[in-house]
Amino acid sequence: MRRPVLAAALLGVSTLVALGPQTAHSAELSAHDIMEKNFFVSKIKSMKTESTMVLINDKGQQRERKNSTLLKLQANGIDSKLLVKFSTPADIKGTGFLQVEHSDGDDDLWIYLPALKKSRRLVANNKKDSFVGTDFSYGDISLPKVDLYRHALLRSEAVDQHDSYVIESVPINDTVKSNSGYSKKITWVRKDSLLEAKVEYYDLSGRLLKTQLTTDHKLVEPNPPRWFPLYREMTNHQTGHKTIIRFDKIEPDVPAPDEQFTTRTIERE
Amino acid sequence: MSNAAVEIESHFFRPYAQWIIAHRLFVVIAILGITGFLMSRMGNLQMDTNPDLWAPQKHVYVETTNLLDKIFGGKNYTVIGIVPRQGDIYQPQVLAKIKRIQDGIEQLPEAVRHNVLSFAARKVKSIKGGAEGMEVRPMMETVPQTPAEMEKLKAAVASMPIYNNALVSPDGKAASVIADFRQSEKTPNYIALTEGLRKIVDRERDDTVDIYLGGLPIVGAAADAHFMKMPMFFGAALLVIMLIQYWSFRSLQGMLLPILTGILSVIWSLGSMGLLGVHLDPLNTTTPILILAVAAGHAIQILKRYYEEYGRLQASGMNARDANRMAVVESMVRVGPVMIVAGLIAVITFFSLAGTGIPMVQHFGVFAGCGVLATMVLEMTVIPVVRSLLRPPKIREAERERAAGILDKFLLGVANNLVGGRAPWIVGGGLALLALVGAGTTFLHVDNNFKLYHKPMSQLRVDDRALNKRFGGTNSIQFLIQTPEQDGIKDPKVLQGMAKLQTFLESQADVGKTQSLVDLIKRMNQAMHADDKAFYSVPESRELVAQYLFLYSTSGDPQDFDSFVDNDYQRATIWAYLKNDSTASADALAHRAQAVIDQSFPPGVTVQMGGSLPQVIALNDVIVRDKFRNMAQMALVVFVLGAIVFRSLVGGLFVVIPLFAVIIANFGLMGWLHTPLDITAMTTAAMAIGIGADYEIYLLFRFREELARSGSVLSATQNSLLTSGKAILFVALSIIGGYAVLQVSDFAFYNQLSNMVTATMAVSALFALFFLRAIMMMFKPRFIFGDRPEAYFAPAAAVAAGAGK
Repeated sequence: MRRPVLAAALLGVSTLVALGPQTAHSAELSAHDIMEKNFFVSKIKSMKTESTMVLINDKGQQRERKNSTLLKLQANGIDSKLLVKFSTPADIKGTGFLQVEHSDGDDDLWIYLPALKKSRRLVANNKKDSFVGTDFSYGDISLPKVDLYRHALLRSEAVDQHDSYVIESVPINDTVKSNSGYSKKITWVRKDSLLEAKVEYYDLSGRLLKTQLTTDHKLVEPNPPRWFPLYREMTNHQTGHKTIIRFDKIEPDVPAPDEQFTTRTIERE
Repeated sequence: MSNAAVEIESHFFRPYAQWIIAHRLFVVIAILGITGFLMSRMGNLQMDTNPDLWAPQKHVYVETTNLLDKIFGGKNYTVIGIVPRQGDIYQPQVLAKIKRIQDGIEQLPEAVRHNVLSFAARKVKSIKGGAEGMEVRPMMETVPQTPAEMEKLKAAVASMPIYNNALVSPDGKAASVIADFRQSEKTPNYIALTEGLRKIVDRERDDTVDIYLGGLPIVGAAADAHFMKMPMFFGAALLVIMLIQYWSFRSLQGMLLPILTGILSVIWSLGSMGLLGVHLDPLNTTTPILILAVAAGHAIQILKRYYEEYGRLQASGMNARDANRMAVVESMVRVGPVMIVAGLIAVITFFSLAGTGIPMVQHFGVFAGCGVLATMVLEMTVIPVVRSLLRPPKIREAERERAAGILDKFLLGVANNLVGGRAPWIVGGGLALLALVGAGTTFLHVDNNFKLYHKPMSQLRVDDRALNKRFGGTNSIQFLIQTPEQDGIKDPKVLQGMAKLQTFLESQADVGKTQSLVDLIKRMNQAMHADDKAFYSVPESRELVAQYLFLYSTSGDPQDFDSFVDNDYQRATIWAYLKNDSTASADALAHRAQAVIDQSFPPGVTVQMGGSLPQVIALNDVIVRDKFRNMAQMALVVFVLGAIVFRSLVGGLFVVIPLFAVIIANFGLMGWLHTPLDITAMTTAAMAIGIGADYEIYLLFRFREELARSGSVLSATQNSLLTSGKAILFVALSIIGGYAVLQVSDFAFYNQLSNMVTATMAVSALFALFFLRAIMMMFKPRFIFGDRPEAYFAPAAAVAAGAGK
């Protein structure tokens, strides 16, 4: 279970696990290499963000949620800790999440509901579950291990005027397929940032299910280069529902002591 | 005949008829040109199968239903019931069938995938309580194989009351897949959709399960399949009407000419509809038969008169060619004005239906009105032109036409009895019969349930009964709860109001099931209290409700609740399912529910009603309200036109009285036969008025003409009955015969329409021929007999009395 990473990624926070210097211009990169670089390029040491989630249904009606997050890389350099607080709408103001990732087991996830004035541990979720009622699944934002997929470089093409690798990723077995809920993904990885600019997700019957677009890629750490998209949009083609995540403020390299990542903190109104 | 009428005849119709004959080539080309043009417009015709056409769009129930559909979807909900022949549904092979049906439907391009619901649906989740809170998981991600897995599923199903009686029967012996589909609003293709569904379902049929289908797409497809057979029925109707024409004229010419005008009228009216952009719809698939029969009817009146005049002119020594042309002119002069008046009444009557609130009835009004209008133009042109182009009838042909048959003997007998003093008996008998038949109106009930348009043993009704028996019900009432602000639905007072309404509804005998967001919120509250049943209730604060919903969303999907609440949580719905499809009991239930609504919701919250049953109630309301208003309007029009034509208020009454009699007889028969007053009754009433008035006008004009000519009531009665009266019988027979072919259909809607038309036409003709003639004999109105009626009666009665012996 890698939920903290997923949430971190969704909320724009990522952990640094250095893979060595990123070279976006290498001509010899294999599809696997590209996806590996993509896996790590958005991992940031620590970061505070303020963002707005816009949920748009198939009739065009919108709802907004605002939240702030704090993320920190754990000591093992792989797992991370994430704290999320919702500020609007008013009736969920103060609702908080705490996620502690354990790469060797199930993640820990707590939720604090102000109306109950008590934190509760959440039962484990699946990668294919929706993340807090959005069109992103946990697996969409917590990028799965690169080795769980077979990758093939299809071609290069521009997305939003940025030259990108187009890579098809197919689960290596039925378990991975079933756990992710996807039969295939096609990722457009930008050659400059190595961040995904676009991802298409195909359901188990091979039909296009969702498309994610990311824009406003921002370099938040220069060495090694770590990039972060300030805008993410996920459209479910089968339901017509769409989620937009807009990062209004990001603050990388902030102090994030371990004491911040406890249930006591999320219970603080 | 009044001076004015004579004036019109001689100053307009004679020159007109002569001009037409003189320029017949031009007229033929013009008619061919117009026909060609209108035929080309027929390509624009669209068949509208939208079920909304049945619904009065301005009625509050229909407006609410449309709004509910826009917000929550569900108009095209289809239910597939899976019933194992042995045991319950908790068997791997049965659940595997459910999963395959679920997966198959999700692959259909029309499916609203997130609203395909069964245990195997991602959207259908179990909410489970634990020490830390709630766990939300899909009900059945994979088909359970072991007893332990099966028990787990059973427990999950049992813990979610919202699905009991909806996705699973209370005894666990039936399960369902409920699916919503996207369809074009104007032209939904239910047949294609149902074929796709059946392919998926039929793969799962074997000797271990029974599978039943229900819902609007299934009802729509069944109806559409019947409508598609209409060209066959139209062909059969054409044949029947041709046979009746042959019986009437006993010659090919006599048979073909009315049919020619009939077919042209249908082409013209269909082309006009294409030109006006009015769509064809299911009710109007039968209207071509009406137009065909009406056109043939008017043609009979003109042609019968033509043969009469031809015979008379030949007897006077005129050669066949001149007699032919002269007879054409004379028949136009005599029948033309009457036909125009009669036709105009029918046209106005049919067009007046365009003012009703039901689109399908409006279409019928325009279609039939255009048809009769086209008929009038064609009768006034095609008949004289073609008849003058044809060779004169051979002597034998004319004699065959004139030969007295059974009908003539019968009508002669009637005439003699009418004049021979038996008129009071006929009036008395007619009134008694009318009273007897009219007494049936006390049993009359209004219902427009579309399922009843299918026969009791049709697959549709069999499946509907099976689904109704096992689940909450296949008829729905939906309540729309609207709050004044965003997130208003999360207010516990609103939720408690909804809960009270649901409790009330479920206490009612007809209601098998209710569903709303409240069921899910109660279950969340229970789960958050370690599944303690005492907490299956609405939480006390709005924040808690909101945060439960938020907690749910940490593992749910964005559209999990979209069948129950809108995106802003400002509007919600309660679905109530009823086993009983009676609109009367649904109406009563709605009134009782209103009292609960008034007491249960906080100020500012509105609750409206929609759904399948309220739509039918709306249709009933409008049919009753509009029908009587429309009939009153039509009667007034007929009365005024009748009074103008005969320059007498009594004349107007004479034309309008049979219409009331026909309507009373119609309603009475419907009561006795337990046929509900429905949308077909609205159209047949218009036919009764529009066409019934024709009969009386033709007869009165002819009687007056014969009376003026012979000075004898007996002779006038005999001649008018043997000419116009006989023609009326053939017109009525043509319409009845045309519609009678619908009796072969296994679609009860068509059978009912056929019954109604038969009854209406028979009663109209019989009243015009006998009852009104008898009234005329008794009351001797001045607009017919002038100031000295005795002068016509004294010698006639004696002769008739002798003849009647």
